[in-house]
Amino acid sequence: MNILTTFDKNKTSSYIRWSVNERVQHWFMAVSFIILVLTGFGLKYPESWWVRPFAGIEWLFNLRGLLHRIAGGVFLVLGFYHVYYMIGTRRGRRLATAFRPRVQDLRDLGQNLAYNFGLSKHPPQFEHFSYMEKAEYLALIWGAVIMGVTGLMLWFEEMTLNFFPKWVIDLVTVIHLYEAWLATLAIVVWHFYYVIFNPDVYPINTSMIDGKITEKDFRHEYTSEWQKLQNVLKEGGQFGGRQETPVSEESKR
Amino acid sequence: MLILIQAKLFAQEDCFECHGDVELITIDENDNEISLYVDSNLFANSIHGKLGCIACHTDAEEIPHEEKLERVDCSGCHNDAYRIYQSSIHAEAKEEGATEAASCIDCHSKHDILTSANPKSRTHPLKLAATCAVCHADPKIVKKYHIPVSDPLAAYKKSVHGIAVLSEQNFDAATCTSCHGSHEIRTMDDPRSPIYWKNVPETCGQCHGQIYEQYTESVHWGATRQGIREAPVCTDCHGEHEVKSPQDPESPVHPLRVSAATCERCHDSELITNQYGLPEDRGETFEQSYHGLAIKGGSLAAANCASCHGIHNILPSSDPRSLIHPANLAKTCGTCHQGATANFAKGPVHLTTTTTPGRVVQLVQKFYILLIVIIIGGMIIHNSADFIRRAKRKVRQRVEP
Repeated sequence: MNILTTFDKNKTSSYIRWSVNERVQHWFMAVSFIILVLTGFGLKYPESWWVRPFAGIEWLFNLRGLLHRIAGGVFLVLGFYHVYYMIGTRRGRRLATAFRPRVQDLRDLGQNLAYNFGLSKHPPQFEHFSYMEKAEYLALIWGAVIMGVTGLMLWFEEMTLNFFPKWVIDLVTVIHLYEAWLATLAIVVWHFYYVIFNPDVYPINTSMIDGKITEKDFRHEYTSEWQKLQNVLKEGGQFGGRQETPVSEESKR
Repeated sequence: MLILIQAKLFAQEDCFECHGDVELITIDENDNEISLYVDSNLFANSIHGKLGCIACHTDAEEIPHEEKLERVDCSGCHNDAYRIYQSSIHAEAKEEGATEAASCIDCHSKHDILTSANPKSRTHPLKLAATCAVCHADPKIVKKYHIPVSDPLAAYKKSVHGIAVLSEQNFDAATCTSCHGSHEIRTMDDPRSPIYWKNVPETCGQCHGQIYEQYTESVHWGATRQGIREAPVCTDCHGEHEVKSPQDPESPVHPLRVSAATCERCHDSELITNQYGLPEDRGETFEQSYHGLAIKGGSLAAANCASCHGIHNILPSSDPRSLIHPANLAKTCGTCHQGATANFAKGPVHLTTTTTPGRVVQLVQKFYILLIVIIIGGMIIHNSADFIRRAKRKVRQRVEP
C-alpha cells in the first residue's frame, strides 16, 4: 500500500500531490532545461529564423556558451540532489517505489488505448503515478544521464581527448544532439499535452505551482489510489499531523 | 641643342599674346569649341616650364603660325617611355581606332605637367586613381570597350591600399600602377602583364615579400605554376581592387568568412574536387563541426580553415612540412587546445561517410532518427486518441449539462 497523496491542512476536499521541495526541484529543472534547449539548438541551427538575429555577434555567442554551461551545471547538481532525495529521504523512497514500472502499467496502456479508441467502456484505474507519468520520469532519468555524460565529455573535450580518439567526440556530439531532440520533442508532445493541452486541464495544470489536486481530479485520474484512500478512511486509518500521509494498518507492520 | 636654340628665337611672351587670352577658341571639324587658352602661370610652374612652347610645338616656327599645328610628339624627348607605351593596351587600342584610349596627355595632362612625386600631379599616388578613373569609371567607355571591371576606383577607395594611400597618405601602399604597370599597361590575359594570373603573386610580392616566399612553398603555387588556373593566386582569395585587411569583417578572408566566402568556393565545388582528385565535402563537414558552428555563431576564437591548414603556406597532409601532417597535428591542435595529445590526430578531422568513424556516427544518427520517429510518433498517436476522447466528452457535457 503506497498512498502518496496527502491532505491539505486547511481543506479536507483538496489534496496535496507535490511537496514544496518537489515543486522547487521541478522548476529548477524546467528553467535549466529550457535554457539548455534554447542555447543548445541556438548553436546547432545558426541559420534558423530565431537564431539568425543573434548569429555572428561574438559576445552573444560566448554568452550562449556560458549560459549553456551554467544551466547544464544546475541540471547536474539538481540531478545529484534528486538521487539523494529519492534514496535518502523517506518520502523520496516511497516516490521511487511508486515510479517503479510494473506489468500492470502495460495492462493499463492496453486498457487506455482500448478505451480511447472506443474498444472498451472502462478507463484504466491508476495508482499514484499513471504509466504516462512513469514513462516520462524514467525517460527523464535516462535522458539526464545521457545528456549529462555526453555534455561533460564535450565540456571538457581536452580531457576527453586524453582518453579517447577524436572520433569519440564526434560520436558524443551526435548523441548529445539527437538525445536533445528526443527530450525536447518528448516534453512538447508528451509533457505539454498532459499539463497544458489536455482538455481537462487546459490552460494549465497548476499542481506543480500550488502542489494541489482537487478531489474530482484525484478521483478521475488516480482512481485506484483514491479508492485505497477511501478504504483506509473507512477502516478508520490514522492520520498524523499536518500534511501527513494516511497510514494504513498494513504499512504500520 | 637644336630645341634650345629654337626656343630662344622668339620669347615666351609672344605666344601668350594670343594664348594668354581666356576667350581664344577654335572650332573643330565637329563644330565643337576648343579653347586655345594656356595658363602661363601653370605652364611656368610645370616641369616643362623652363622649355619654350616650341620645344613641343615644333612646327610653330613663326608668328603667326599655321592654323592647324601637328599633334605634339612626346617621343622626341621621352623616347623610352614612348617605346614602352607602344606595347601597351592603350597604344594597341588607339591603333585599332579607340579614340578614347589613353595617350600621354590623358594621364599626364598638357601644359601643367608635374613630376609624379609632386602631390599636385595627376600621376601622384594621391591623384592617380582618379586620373585612371576618368575613363575606367566612365560607364560609357567601360561598356563600349567591354572593360571587365566597371568601377575600380570605388572599390579601391574602400580597399586597404586605397585607404592607406588616400586617407593615411602612405605613398608606399599600392596605387593603380603598382600592380598594373604604367606605360606598359596590359590586359590580364596577356602573359607579359603583371596582373596575368601567373604573375600576380610576384606582383603582390614586390611589397609583400615574406608572404610571397611562403606562398611559393604552397600547394596552391605548385598547381598554379603547372598551369592550373583553378588554383588560387593572391587575388582569388583577397580580391583585387577591393582588397581588405583580414581583420575587416567584409574581407573574404576574415576569420568568420574565410571558409564560406573563400576556401569553400573551390573545395566544395564538385567540378574542381573531381577534376583534381581533392577530398570532398570539406566545407560541409567543417560547417557541421563545432568549429564551423561556432564560426557561424560569431566566435573569433574557433578554428577556421586557415587555423589548421595555414594561410599562405598551405600544403597537403602528406607533406611533412604541412601543419596538418599527422606528425604535426598535435602541435597544430595544441595552438588552441592546451595539452593536445596524439589522440587529436586519430580519426578523420573532416568527418565524411567515406571513413569508418564517419559511417559509425552516421549509423548512430540514423538509429536516433528512427528512434525519434517511433517514440514521438507513438506519443502523437497515443495523445491524439486521448485528446479526441476527452474533447468529445467535454463537448457532450456542454451540450447536455
